[in-house]
Amino acid sequence: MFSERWLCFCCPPMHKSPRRTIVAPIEQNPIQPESRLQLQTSRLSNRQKQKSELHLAAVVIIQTWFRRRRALFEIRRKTAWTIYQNIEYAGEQNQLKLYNFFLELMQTVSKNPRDATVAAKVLRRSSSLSGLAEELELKQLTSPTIINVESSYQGPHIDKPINREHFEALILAFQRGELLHAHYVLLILHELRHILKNLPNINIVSTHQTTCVTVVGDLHGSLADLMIIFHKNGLPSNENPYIFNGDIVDRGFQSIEVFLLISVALIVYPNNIYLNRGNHEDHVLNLRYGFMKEIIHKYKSHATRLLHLFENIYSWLPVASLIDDHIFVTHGGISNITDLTIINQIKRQKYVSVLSPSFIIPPNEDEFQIGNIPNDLLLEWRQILDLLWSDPKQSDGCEPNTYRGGGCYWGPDVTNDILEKHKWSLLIRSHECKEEGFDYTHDKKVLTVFSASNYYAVGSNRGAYVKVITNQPPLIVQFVSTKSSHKSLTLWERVSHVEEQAIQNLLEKFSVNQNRLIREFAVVDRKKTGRISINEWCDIVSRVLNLHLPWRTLKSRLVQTDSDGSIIYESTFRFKQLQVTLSVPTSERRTSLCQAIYRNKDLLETVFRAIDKDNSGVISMKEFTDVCVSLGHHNGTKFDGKQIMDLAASIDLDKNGVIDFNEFLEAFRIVDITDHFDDES
Amino acid sequence: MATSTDATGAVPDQENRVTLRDPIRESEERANQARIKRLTDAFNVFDQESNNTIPSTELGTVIRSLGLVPTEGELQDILSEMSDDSNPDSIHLERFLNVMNMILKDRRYQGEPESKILRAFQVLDTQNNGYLTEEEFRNYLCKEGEPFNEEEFQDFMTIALDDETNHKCTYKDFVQHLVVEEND
Repeated sequence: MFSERWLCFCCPPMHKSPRRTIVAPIEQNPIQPESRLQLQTSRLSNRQKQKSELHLAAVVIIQTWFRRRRALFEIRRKTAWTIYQNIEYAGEQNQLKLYNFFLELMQTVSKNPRDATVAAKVLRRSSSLSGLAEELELKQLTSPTIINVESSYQGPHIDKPINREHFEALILAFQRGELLHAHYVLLILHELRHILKNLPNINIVSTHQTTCVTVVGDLHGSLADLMIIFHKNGLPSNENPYIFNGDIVDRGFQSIEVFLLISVALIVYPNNIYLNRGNHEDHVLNLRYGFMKEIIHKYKSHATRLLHLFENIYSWLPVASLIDDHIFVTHGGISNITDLTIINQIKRQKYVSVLSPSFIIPPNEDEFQIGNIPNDLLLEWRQILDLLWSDPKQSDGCEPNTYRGGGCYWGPDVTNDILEKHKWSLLIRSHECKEEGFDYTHDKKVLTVFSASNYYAVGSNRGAYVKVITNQPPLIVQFVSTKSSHKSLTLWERVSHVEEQAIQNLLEKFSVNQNRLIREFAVVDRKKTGRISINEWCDIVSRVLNLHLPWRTLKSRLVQTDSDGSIIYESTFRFKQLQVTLSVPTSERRTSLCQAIYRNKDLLETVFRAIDKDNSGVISMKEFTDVCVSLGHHNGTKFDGKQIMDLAASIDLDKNGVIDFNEFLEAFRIVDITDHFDDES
Repeated sequence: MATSTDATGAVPDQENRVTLRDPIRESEERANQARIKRLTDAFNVFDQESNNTIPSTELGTVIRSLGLVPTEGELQDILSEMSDDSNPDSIHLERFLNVMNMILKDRRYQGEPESKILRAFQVLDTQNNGYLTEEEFRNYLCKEGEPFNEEEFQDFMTIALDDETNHKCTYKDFVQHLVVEEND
């Protein structure tokens, strides 16, 4: 029934094997550490003994040297992993900073009216109507009847009642790469919404009849991983219940397919499929992390309708599940104030966006004071925010990231308190990528499960899911998706891939920060030798990029060293270059500006999309300049309004006062310098 | 350290008594510092929570990443020198540095030269074929000495075999793969 296109890695070893015991014990001989020939043997002739000793020594030599080789690769893999995590973490920090920025703006009367208008526009994007008016507006905008299915459409057809056959048909269609018609997407989403509206904030799950329930972590649009899970664990059904713990969309390229399959599963088996909202089930994040782009790309003129409906559906997703009264499942985690009785009473649908809920920050007021929000409202917001955004930490205590976004970092003492308060035995959460696909912490009271394998790059991590079985400890199953080849990747290939991507990432960051770096290098290299010490290079790079990585270990792959061990710092930029397609030659000042724009590409894009209400990819020249300048204030980078306009003009985008920001952003690319014939990066 | 010196390399200290610089000791000190830095960097890659400890299970990888070639048995010895009875599952940076610094200084566990490794293969090649088969490897490497587990064996075979079909390893070529040096 399933296509042969993917290969399942059945049950790779779960944990590293324990230390092996030596078959032929090596005698302890501290005087001769080099000698591997001292081996114990039993009653053999002298000659046989010698031969046997030699043989054994040979075996051990080969084993030892191979282990060393393998270890060197492990280190490289581990280092690459550190790079990814650091970059991802830095990216998320940026996202949070962006929204803190908007809230700050709304909080004080902005001296610069320009800033306030930008913020207002972005926050006004979410719906501000309430109740019945909202229902009517939503139905009008997103009714499937508006869209006709053309006779030329070859994909699957869905009609009510939606059943198991539709589910299976969709699986096959999506595996073949087919796109479901917008009409049917709306149909399914409306059905889903109808069911979600009747669900409580916290799903009550019982394994009494089914004896087990499977918890799936972040999928992030990975259809391949979902297919592996269904293959290994069986399709969802009334006998095979599932809890999907959020972050179904964003980052991956098949977010909508994954979301639709899970939706249909829930529609067909509403009593045994459960959904928890993740922090990425939020239109504000979809702006930046890919889901919105995916929808626009796949559904073009229907995108706005779909996005509007998704926005609303997210708000109806339950925020957690409780299994058998003692296992709490939520996407992010908990905090010191987590209280189920309070959570149960919240009207969750108010939180269209969890990160920046518009009913708390009214978009119509330009002079908004955060001090005006009642305290219990703020606390209520925190309850939900913390569930979806928090991360565990190793030391005691709870550090909130203020009310402006991001949840908490909670410690083992908080776990003990909250678990005891509610009489829970275990907290299952997701939200963080783990190498093995899962991770226990806080004395095994917190279990992280992450189901998107190869999340950073091919070979970076396994995925996992958890089977919760009545009266038994949870069973964890790992897997890896290998989409493209039938051959499983060896350790060597895996490391090469993972490392290659990571290094490329870093080289890009160098080129984008070239001016800053060169300035700092020059300060240290007063004698203009072109060289600086390893320590100085590591220091500067770490500071300018704001990435704290094992630079010493990495440097051999990033720069050239001299025979005396000093670093030829120009070689930091020998592979990648930021190219800007301009019709006018660039000056030094403009190069800096271009680099600054590229560095902030993600943030810029996010804000542009927020302003572009009809998803046309186009905003006015004035809005465009306002955004760049406002973001600059916040970021500490100088975006001079005039400079920006000049730049935009020279990229030949200023037609009729509108700017195609897709074109604008595309004008900036990182290219491989070594490649003379190809302009593509 | 040393500030201004005169022609003899002597340095006036605060009370203007003159002490001789000891270039040997200074260069030893520098070498020591370099060793410590190198060790700390390798250690930090596995220090997940930035609390100056690594799990004991990672010690082998860390030591090998420094270019050393201990056997599993030798690793056990090193581990027992470093580990703390009150906390057997993790190793603290301080103990790690102490033990490893001596090991590096004494240049222990440097491993064999390439010729000896080649000889090891030749010893196993009882028929003198110039190659070894997957089956032979499995018999030796998975059952004798410090046996491989399945994962290690699979990884070994993927780089050992000449090509996928013939199940043979012409070890003369393979030896170079094993002796790869990581540039520091």
